[in-house]
Amino acid sequence: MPQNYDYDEASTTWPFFVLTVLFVAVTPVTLIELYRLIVGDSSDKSSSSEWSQLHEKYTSEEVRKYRLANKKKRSKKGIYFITVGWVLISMLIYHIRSNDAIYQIAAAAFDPYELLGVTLSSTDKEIKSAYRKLSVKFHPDKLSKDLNEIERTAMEEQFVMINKAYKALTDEITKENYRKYGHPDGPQSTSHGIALPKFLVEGGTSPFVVFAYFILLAFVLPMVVSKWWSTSQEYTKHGIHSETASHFVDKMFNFKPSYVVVPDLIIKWISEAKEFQLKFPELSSVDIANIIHSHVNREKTENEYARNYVLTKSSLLFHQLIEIASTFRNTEVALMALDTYKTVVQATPLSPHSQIFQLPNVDKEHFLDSTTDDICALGKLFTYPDDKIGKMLGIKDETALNETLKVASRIPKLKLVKGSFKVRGSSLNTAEPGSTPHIQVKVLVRSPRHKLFPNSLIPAEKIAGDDPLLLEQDPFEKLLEQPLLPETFAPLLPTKRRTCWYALVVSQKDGKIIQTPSLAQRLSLENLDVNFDKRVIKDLDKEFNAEDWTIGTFSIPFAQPAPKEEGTYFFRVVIKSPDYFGSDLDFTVPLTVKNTPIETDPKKEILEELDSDDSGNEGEENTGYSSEDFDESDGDDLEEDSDFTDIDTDTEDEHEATEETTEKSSKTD
Amino acid sequence: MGQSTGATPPVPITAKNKTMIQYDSNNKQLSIDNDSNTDRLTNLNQINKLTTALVPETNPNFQPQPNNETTNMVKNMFQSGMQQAQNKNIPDALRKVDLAVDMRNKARKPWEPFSFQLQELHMMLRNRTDLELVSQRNLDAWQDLEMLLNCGMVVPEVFIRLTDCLLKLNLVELARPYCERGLSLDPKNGPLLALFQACEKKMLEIEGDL
Repeated sequence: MPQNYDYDEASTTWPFFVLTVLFVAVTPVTLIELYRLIVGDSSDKSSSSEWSQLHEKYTSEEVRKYRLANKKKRSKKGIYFITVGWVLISMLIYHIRSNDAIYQIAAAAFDPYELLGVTLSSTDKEIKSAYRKLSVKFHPDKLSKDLNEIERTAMEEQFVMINKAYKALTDEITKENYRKYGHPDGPQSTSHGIALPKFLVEGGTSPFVVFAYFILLAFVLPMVVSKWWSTSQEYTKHGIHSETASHFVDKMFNFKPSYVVVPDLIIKWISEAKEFQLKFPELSSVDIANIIHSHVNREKTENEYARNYVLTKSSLLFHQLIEIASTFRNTEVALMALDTYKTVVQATPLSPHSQIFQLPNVDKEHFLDSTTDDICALGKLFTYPDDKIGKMLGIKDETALNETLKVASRIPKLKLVKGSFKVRGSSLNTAEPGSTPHIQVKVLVRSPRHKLFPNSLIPAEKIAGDDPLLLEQDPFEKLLEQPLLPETFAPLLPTKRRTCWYALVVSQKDGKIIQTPSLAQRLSLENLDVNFDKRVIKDLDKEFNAEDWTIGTFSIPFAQPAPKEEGTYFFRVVIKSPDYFGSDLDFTVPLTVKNTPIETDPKKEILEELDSDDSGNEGEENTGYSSEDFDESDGDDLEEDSDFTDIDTDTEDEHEATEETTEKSSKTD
Repeated sequence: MGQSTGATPPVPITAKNKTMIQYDSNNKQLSIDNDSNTDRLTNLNQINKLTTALVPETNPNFQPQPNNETTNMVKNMFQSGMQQAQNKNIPDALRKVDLAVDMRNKARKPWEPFSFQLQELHMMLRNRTDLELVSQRNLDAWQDLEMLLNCGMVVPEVFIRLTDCLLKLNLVELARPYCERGLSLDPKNGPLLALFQACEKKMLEIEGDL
């Protein structure tokens, strides 16, 4: 160890050190901000669309302010950081450029190319000729006699350097030395020092430097590390407080079948989150629950100031509760949490008429008083003429009514086209034991306004969708071809959100969830623009144009391999939207596990599959129960099969139902 | 660390824990101070209930057995209910079966073998749901059927009744998944297939697509 340190007297080292540190910090932040700027622009573009304008129109002034403030707060921090960073960088660069000492050091460095006046791409021949010319000029024997001693020595030194440079580029050993150590003579002496000017360390300012180091090592560093450590300990990797997570786990662990799972219970659990206790220590969990309830019922609350934060945070909490409930395989809680999530997003309580009440401008009391028919679904609403709908919903203003109908007709409904298990790379509808299948769900997105048409009208190629040659393609990668879902119409929610669907998979054997839910954020909603009004269409076959419609796909990963034993296993798939009432899908998919027959022609298989789809009756093919299986006489067997002793009272009902449906089917035939 | 030895040491009760469990050596009951945690209270109550029932037991070679007297009592009440049903006196029959179920709840000691109790409960609940369905008490029937499912009675017959009763309650969105689950157990079950068609039709009707 050297006894005396070299100091950076001429400020030749520290600017480069600081510059590197600054670049490492500033460049990524700049790129992120630029990306945000570009993406932010594209979202602004979409806000000019009619749909977003409508959304904006129904947003209250207060919510709008909150959204804006949030956006500004986030972008400002980054912009301040970037500005300061780049100003410092430019100052440093200016400093480096105006520092002669740096140039001197750079000049002293050995560069054979510069010495010979050749470029990196020069050939050996060019190097040789350049060396010849220069050696003639600087050779000690060839120098003019008029030169004084100093000039002569300089020239001689230059000649030595030229020789070295030539060797560095031609001689093997010298070349190797130059490549390894940056000098033709091999390793040069290195000096170690402190990248601080001497006056800072040895002058009167040295106590300050020592103090600064002391502060940095004794306070700042431990604080930063402990803060990082405590946040990583306090919050789960999903971003909720670990106490909140353990609270949810505790609720699920102690869950008793006697619990009545209703939105109130879910909201109670959510309101007990640690996040709210930390942010608003003065509010009890009951207060928080009241805030959520008042939002759902569209009422004022005493603690209005906390509302925006509570609602914004609740979204994440709902998501986590759904995940934790799924991990505990609790179907009841997971489904109710999703329903409660919906009530918060739409600020509409769960009721038989939620689908209607989620629309803007609806006069709830007027609607309940005025209608004699029981209208619970948007589809039913659209069977009436527009002016009648206005009367029923209590909307007198024509623009308001149009806007309400616009929103109603753009709430996507899913119609199941085909749900099946698929194995990547196989065209079969069966899975081999132990293979990894996934669930492929083909859906038709339609507006509540659209007239329903049977699946048989959709061309088979459209349903199959995938090219037999592309069977090897990753089904989840393929999903990325579908566009992102648009913004949800939820004007009362303080945050803007994109529409999405949760896909839960439940084993029908024990009625329990088998895996964490997967989230679908991509699906084309272009079908909503098709003009196919159920009040206008008279002749379905004539007016139907298959070209207008697109078929969407959900691919749901299946978290376990296919069972080892051959047989058919049934799984309930629930595709549930946390955004709108009336956008859900609930069906059963059979998984047939079978060893593959030896000879199969994939193309032929596909053709057969398509044929069978065509002949199937819609509604039945989806679930794998066909009408051929249904035999009237089965109804009578019930009495014998049933474990119900002395009396079996509802066989009458069954008979009625049986007769009714057979009547129906004969009528439709 | 000596964790490999197995048993974890009991969590010491410190002042930080605040809640203190107290044991009354006279009546052998546990109690808890200043605690509003319902789960903990429920657990404590269950322990107390079991202790109360065990304390008066005098037989040194104590083996839990179903009490014959109670079994007969419940059985008689239940059968008289069934007799009423055969005489088409449904309200009386229902009242007697209700009583029999209540009696089973109250008269049975908590340590009596549960497998026997479960069989008894299954039989009575199945008959009670049928009586409830006949007398149009659909909500009660729904509750009992869910109870049967929770008690592990996962058979198509339960799903037939569940679907039927939910359809009567106009809750087709709830009825359909039950119907499908029933069909998963028995894909060729006639009544369930018929009910499935009824659900589909009802769905279309509600959605205004019919």
